[in-house]
Amino acid sequence: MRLHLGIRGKIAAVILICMIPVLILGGLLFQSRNQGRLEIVQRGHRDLARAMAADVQMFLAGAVEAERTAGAAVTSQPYPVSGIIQLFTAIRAKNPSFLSLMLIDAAGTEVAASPPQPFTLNLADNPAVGPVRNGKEWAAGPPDWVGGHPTLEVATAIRDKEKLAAVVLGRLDLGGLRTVLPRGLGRAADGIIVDTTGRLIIDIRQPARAPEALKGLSAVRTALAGLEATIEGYSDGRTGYLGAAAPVAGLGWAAIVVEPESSALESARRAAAQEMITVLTAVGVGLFLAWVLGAELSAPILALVRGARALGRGNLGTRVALRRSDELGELGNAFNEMSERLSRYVTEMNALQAVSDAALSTVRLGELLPPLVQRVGAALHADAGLIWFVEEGTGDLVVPAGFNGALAAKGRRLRRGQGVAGRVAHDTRPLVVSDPARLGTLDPALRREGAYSTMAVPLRVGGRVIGVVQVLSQRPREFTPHEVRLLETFADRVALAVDNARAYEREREIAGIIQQTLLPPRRVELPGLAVAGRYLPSREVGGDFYAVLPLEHGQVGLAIADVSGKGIPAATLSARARYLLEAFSQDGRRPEVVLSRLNHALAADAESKFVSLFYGILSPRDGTLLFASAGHLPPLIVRAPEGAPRLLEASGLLLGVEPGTTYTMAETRIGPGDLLVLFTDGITEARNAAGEQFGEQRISALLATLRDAPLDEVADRVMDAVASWSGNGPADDQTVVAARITSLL
Amino acid sequence: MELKIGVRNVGETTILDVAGELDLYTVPRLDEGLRTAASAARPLLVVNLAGVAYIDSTALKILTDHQKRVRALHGELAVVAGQPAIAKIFKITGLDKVMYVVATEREALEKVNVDRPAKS
Repeated sequence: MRLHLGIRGKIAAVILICMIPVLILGGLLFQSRNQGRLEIVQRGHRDLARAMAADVQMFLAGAVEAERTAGAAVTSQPYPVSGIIQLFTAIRAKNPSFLSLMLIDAAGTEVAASPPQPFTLNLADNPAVGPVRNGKEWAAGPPDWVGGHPTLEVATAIRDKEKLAAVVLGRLDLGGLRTVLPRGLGRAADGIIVDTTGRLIIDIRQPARAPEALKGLSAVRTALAGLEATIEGYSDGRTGYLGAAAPVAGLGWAAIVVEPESSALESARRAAAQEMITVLTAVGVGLFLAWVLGAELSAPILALVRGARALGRGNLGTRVALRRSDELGELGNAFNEMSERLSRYVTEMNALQAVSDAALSTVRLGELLPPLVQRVGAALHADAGLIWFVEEGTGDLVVPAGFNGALAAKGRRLRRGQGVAGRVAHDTRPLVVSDPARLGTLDPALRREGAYSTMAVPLRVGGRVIGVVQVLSQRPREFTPHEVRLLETFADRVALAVDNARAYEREREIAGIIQQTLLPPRRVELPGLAVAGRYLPSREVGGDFYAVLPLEHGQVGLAIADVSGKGIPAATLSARARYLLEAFSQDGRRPEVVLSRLNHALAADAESKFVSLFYGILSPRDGTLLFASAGHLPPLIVRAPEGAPRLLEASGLLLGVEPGTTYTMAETRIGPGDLLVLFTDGITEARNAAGEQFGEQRISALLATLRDAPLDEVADRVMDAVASWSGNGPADDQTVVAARITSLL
Repeated sequence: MELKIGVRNVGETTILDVAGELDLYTVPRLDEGLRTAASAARPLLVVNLAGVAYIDSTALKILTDHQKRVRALHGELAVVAGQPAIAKIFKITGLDKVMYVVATEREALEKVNVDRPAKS
């Protein structure tokens, strides 16, 4: 899973990193476009403010025009006051913005008014009338609040041939402006008119804005000074505003438009949001593509990971199926190839191991060859394997005795150079025959036996060809050079094993010869004494021996010994001990002296092994047995009256441990018919399948029943009992010697 | 034919716990174990044969060889033969007379540590 995210994540990260400049550029563009939008909004505000100012002017111009018309009407001909009032009232009815209308003469005195005034007013100094009397065509006074309404007095000059004839003064309800102004104002926008002092006259939205806040705006001051200006950063405490102010010409007022920034920029924001969504969608699509691309990349990698794991678990020959033409596909192919090779390699290694195991399993040639050759054949998927040995003397190739390969013809013989194997032995190099017809020519016998193809390699030991290993196929088959090399590798193992087995057999033969020369006959008859001995060597020849030594005065030396170790070293030491014993036992030497001498001789040799040895001198004249033991198992004696066997205890150190060791002699008497049995630890320590030793008790119990049995039977029964106890062949040499005084001389 | 050799230290003494069968084939490992354990200047060794089911004369030979070597270095080697069958083999072969063969590890530790003046 980590890898899963890993690859996808990395691709996404790369795409994100690639997008960073795009995003930055987009951000910059967005910002500049935002500024552009602000300008557009402000221009709109300026236009609106200008339009508002124009509306105010139009409103005033309309009022001036109405006043002029009315004034002209009543001054062009003599008019009664009541008529003027009537006319003015009619005008007011038509134009409700006129709160009042008044006709004033050039001197500034009221002539008539609608509604009528309780007093005749002198309006010479009226702020609106004054400028008109001083030559202006029209003039307005300062705004004035009447009954909560902003009002304005507007005076208009009525001339008769350039000469001021009269002045019409009207009071206008500026509230009427409200109905005129809100053209093109946004829903959240506000239109405001302030007078020259910045006093708020009209505020379209209610409640009205604080005039002070407006007056504080530099844009308003600028407009009052006669120039347009934009409003930025104005806030009423809750909302920020954008807007513009425009001067109202002729009045010195200002028209102001303000709009909350939020609503002013709303459309801009909406457009920005739209762009943002577009950008984010693009990013999202990019990431999605990254994810998909990641899956495209990671899926095969995951498949490879699974494959590698499976391979690691030992599923050799694991394949990943990646049908791709890119590098990953190549990786998959490389993986499959590797897996294939690994599988083949391991199979070959296992086969080699199997061959090596078989080669090491035993050192006996007869047992060694069949499984060995069978495994070589199996490893090469051949139908059969064959082994040939070069026969000493003739140089012929023979199939070894006791070997029963499937196609192996027992007792077959090929002359050197004859047949496939003969050629290989002669040429000392591998030979492959794939073509059945050629095989028929080269080796007709093999072809007749059903072989179609074959290959054979020489068995070499130290550069010498000792034989040939051959595999056969019962159908036409091309053996590859690789398979030939493999067979050669196997042949090396086989040759080594064969050489070892032969060396071992030679050693065994030699050791056996030594051993046999040491052993007395199975049955010895001397005057007054009979002895029966049995010796069963373990698989590897060991070092047990026993001796029956005729001495002076009819005495007989009886010895049994066990030399530690196995093989030729043990056998030669055994022989040495045997001949030393024979020499030292002469001249009537007592047992303990013989043992001391033997020990002295054997301990002098540092390489020497231990020897346990029991030595007794039996005198058939009176049945006396003088004995001493060098670490050997005490023999058993079965006396006539009792029946229960007793141990002949005598303690002494093994021979070969300490040079100066001395031994002590013990003495006992053996009656006619008493049975004396000597044995080695191969008897007592023989173990059954459960690992239990045969032990002293069992041999003792057995001997109790054999006191009067013939000596050969005693010896055989002991050997049989031990053999059936252990089931297998002996792990150690087994020796038993039974002796009986036949009659006292 | 398995043999396991564990090595412990009690004070200056190295104890080898031997388990399995000591015969011609496994003895080289005992030899190697003893050689490794006796690397001290004055080796004090206890060979505990508590887990040994079988011991043959080649193993006895190795034990006496090492005992001689260790003694030449003013060290000592003792054998713990707790099992009667194993103890009997030492008795029959007379080896209990030439080397310390005792029934318990405690006795063995006393044998190797007592009467051994420190090497000057």
